[in-house]
Amino acid sequence: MNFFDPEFIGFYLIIFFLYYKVKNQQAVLLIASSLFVGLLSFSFLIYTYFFILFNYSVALLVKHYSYNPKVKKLICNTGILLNISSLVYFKYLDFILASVTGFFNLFDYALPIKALNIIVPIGISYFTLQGISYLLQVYRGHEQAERNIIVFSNFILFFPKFLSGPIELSKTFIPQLRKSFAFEYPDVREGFKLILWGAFKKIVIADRLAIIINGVYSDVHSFTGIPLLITFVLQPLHLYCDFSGYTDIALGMGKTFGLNLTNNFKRPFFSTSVTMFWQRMHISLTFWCNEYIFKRLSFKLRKWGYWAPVFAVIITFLILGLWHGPRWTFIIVGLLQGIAINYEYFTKRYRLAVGKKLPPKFVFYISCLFTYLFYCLTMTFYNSLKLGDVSYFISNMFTNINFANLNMSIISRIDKIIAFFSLLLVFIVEFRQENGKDVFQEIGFWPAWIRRACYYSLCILIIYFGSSMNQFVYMKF
Amino acid sequence: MKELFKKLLFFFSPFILITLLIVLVDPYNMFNILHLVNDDTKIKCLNRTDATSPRGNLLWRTIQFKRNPTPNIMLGTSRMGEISDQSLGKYFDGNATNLAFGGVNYRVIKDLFWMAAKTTKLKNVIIQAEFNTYSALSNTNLYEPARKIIDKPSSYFLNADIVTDAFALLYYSITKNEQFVRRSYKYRIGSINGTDKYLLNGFFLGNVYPKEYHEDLIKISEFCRKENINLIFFIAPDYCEVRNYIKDNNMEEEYNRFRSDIYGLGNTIDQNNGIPFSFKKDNYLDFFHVKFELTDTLLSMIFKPDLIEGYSRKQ
Repeated sequence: MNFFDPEFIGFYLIIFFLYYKVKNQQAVLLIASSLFVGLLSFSFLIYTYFFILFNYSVALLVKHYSYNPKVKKLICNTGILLNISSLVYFKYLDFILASVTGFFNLFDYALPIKALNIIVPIGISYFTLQGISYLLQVYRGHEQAERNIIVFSNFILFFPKFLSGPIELSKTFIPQLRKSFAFEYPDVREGFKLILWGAFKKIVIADRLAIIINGVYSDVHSFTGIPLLITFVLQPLHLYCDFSGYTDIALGMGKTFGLNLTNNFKRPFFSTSVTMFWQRMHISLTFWCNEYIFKRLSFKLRKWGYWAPVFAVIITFLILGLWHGPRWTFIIVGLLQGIAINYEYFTKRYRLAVGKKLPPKFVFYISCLFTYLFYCLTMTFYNSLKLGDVSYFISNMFTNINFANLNMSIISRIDKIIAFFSLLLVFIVEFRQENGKDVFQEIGFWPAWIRRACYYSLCILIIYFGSSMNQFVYMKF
Repeated sequence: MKELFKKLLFFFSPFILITLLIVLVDPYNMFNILHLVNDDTKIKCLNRTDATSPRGNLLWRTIQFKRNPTPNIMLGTSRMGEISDQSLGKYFDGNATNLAFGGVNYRVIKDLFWMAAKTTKLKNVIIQAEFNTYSALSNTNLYEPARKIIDKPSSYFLNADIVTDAFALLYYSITKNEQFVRRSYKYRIGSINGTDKYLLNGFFLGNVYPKEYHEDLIKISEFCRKENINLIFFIAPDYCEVRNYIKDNNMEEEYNRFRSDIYGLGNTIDQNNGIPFSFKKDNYLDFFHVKFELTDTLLSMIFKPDLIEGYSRKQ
């Protein structure tokens, strides 16, 4: 079920109605989430149930043996290892096998290993990280092990966030799941506003830009010049509108149930550095990586002194890249981000000194532009399947520049106009948010007819001018 | 809670009314249940749109084909699009469908072929191959919107074009305003002269070898061979000036590659070899399209090529 399928909308409305009608709200959420995942794939649902039972039991055991640090550590480490192993098995085993056989092929030695073609359970990258962080929190004594299996199941399965996050932390999400919520009209209204805005970003903008981006990347060697340049510049906007659109919908749905999910984005394209960018982009994942990889690694390697954080940043971003999938191009994306952050760290003093001599606004905009262009560059790796495609893309971006190709037929004129003005609207909204204005609250003070006209315009664009309704990009991770 | 549902219902009531209108007038006979508006009116109304519209004729005919499939089909561009099913049917015991549409490229031809192959057991397939769309840059998929509507009927209600068509049909049914249903696109009759050659630039988007399209055509060709489907490629005659244009713009090498690619796929009837027909300006509406009254001549070129002066056939 896709969020925009009429079946899903009906399903959601029924759940929403039941949620506020019955006493046991947790049971409603669990049934709804199980149905949602089960309809996507029954075998994945069974796997997720095993995952829930396993982590639930491990956390209780950790709690039970809290008087014996050695046993407690052993249980926790075993639990984490098994979580990681299952992720590696499902997501990376084929990649590892292919890399090993590829390596031996270099020496003309063919290993008798075949790809296993394992089907990756939906949402595994998200809920595995949630499971690991939960076990670590319980192990460190920062949290109590959850005794209510329904609450814990909802922590993993909650359907609005199951497919693409946010990666919720148990300390913030589980306490909310324990509560019962009365119907609060303002919360529900805010939730619907977020859903509307998320759907607009996804269906009206991201799916439109996807036509260009997928069109070019599906046969990248057929293009030179302008189409590649346009794709280069648009690809971060496509990803952002797609993923932040999903997140807004998930957050909005959560709000309608009285639950506050973590916002994954804080206007990343207003970042003046790569370091700042990763504090604003996919926040729940970067927070997780910072908390459980970077900090841990920096601490373990503290004897290295100066080089410990440098190395930890590189490793953290390599893992972050690899988290996206078993592909060398993802690993390179991570590596490039890690190098950039280290570069910024080492050159901060000099850059600040230069910046002080220039007008602050100029410094701000030029920094945002460079950060954006750097992200564009890494997105070329992100969207390419092979390194050869990346080198072709970059080396042919400025060849055969023919402005007649601006009218490339991948996308119709009306689509271009809608995409342009929609992006402009997102920019205006985010610009105001960046300057401390909450546009969604401001709308509440506008005259009713203007407000309604805005809502109707968004609805008309979503319903009748929505593009192809592609799968969300981050669902595949 | 009740208040919320009331508000939601009130807010979405215009959209519910629009959905009801679509069900009632059913502009493309998607459901084929209510016939409040007759088919002739619907065809007249949907043809008001640009010939290269993804809806209009393409959606209508695809739905008709899915409902009443025929084993004999023709795929191609606007050059063959004016040929009626009846004219084509003369060569197939009245059992043929013309699935050639304006603005079609090889991507659409591929999709339409596989749609037809999945719908019915095919016997004869004619593919009109042309050089100016044999480029990776010619990649707009006009069939995609129709495919989405056919695969997912709920999107019939969620499409601005369908909504527009429903309102247009309602308007035309009430007013009978003939001006409203006139074709928005007209071939530029008499546009063939030296000064208008710039028009040709629009037809040649730029030549990027379409490896993907060639592979798609190979797959189609192999499938037809395996399934004993008689597949014919037809290269229609361009007006003679197009050949000069190709020469002047150094595209001869690409043209020859296109021709050898098509020849390599199987039975090809190539009438773009400088046959006398292509030198008569009076035969053409523009550089590519023959006059409406001569479109059936194109069928003769396929089925009775011996009658055409200077024809050539490559097996």
